[in-house]
Amino acid sequence: MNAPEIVVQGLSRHYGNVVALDDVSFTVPAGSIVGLLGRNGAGKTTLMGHITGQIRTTKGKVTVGGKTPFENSEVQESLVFIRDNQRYPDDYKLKHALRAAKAFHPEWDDALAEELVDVFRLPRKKPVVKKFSRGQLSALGIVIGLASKAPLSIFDEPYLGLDATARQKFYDVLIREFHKTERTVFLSTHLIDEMAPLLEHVIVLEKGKKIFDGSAENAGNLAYAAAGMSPAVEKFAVGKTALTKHQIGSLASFTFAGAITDEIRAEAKAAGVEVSAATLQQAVSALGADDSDDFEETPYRKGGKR
Amino acid sequence: MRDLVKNLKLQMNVRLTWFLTPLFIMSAVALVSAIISIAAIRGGVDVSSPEYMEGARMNMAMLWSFPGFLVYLGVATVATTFPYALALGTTRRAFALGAFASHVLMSAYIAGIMLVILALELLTNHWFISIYLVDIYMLGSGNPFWLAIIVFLVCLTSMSAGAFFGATWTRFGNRGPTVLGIAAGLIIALLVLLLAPYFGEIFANFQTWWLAVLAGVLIVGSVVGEYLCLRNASVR
Repeated sequence: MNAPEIVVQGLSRHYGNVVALDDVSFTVPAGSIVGLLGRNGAGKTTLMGHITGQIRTTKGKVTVGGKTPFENSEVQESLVFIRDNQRYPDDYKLKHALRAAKAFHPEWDDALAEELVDVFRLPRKKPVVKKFSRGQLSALGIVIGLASKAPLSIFDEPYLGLDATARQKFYDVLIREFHKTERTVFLSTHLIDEMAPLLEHVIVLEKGKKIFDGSAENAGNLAYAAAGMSPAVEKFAVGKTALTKHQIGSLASFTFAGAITDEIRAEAKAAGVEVSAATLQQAVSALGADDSDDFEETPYRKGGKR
Repeated sequence: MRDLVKNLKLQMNVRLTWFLTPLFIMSAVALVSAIISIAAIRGGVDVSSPEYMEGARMNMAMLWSFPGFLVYLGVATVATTFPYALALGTTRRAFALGAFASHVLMSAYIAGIMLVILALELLTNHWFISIYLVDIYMLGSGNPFWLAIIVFLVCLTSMSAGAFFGATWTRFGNRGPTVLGIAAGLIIALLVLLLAPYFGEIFANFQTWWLAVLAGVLIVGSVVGEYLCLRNASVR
């Protein structure tokens, strides 16, 4: 299978009263690096479980390369899905984990695996994998995910416990290998600004709902920040819904949903505040915040706090 | 077929566990049996007497030394291997078939080793000092056909049952094996209660092949139960 397109239509998943996914639909173009963003519990891992067929779809539809992934050997052969808490057989050492992965993926790249094992300084003989540190486990997941050359490679928070050097190496090799082999890479992350340069497509989930789906460039239109003296920002905020509010001394910075329009720019100038497009991380963080407020006149109590 | 082979490779990946552990277990049993026999000789027991041989043939150490390890291995083939298999990309059906195939190969491997031991045991007149490892009543009294069948079925039953328990854990968490264990205990108790009045008749007419049928039922039931659990199991 070549790098597959992923199509999700009306996908919902409930666990008792908890809504894990609520009518999620999107299409991921074949051969792209996709970032799945959202707070803990937003439904990211559940969504990835459906895409990989590890969770059976009960409402809605998921196709990978036009085929339903659950119990479909053709789809399964084309994917690798490394979880943040990926488990390995108890008695596996590094060589066993790599040998098994090689058996599953005919395009397995031994040289790449060796390179990454050296870069991440993974212990070759001892201990067994289950005694690896958090960072070593993440590194092993990255080695397997990248060296597999699977047409659909999915990583769930692959950077946990990795130091900055190792993370940068992961990003570099991911980009290098992505350009060498056509594949669709799907990864969830909380290190949004750090990984944003890698992402071509972004999907943002919040409480099981998709709140953004589009190119990483357009994600800049998700939110904007207004900063300045508190009274000025407060005046600017009237009639708008602030997603987040930060105040330090007499300075305030509020985040609002949406793109900066000429009208907003003019309003900000009149109010004496600076507006700027939120970074992807600021936008996702703001959209996931639970403290949004609709501003009316005189929103602050005495002392500058609401 | 390719799915089956890669799952088989995944299962039998740690060769030390799969191929050397049975040899270690058999060596340990042989060593203990040899020590007992030598101690008997040093204690003045006539190990060539019919009475001693009769007792020695009741030595079931070799048979009972395996099920514990094999049940553990059966549990491990599912409980700890399933998440990695799905991470690498496979269907649950292929995984269950691969696990079963690995159990069949392991059972055949152990049965094969036992046959070699039987041949050596008979050739050396029970290791020269009346050590009865596999030429025992429970393993067919030196009949290689029965030894192979019995060992193979005991091993396969142990591993299949272990895999079923592992699958219930994967599917239901800690409740799975607990409920399955209680259910199995209740079924056995119920059968004993129902069949108690007929025990005399049953033992009088007992045929060895009944055990083979029972093992077959347990193996098929375990494999089907394992697959049904895995089909709806979430990956942990």
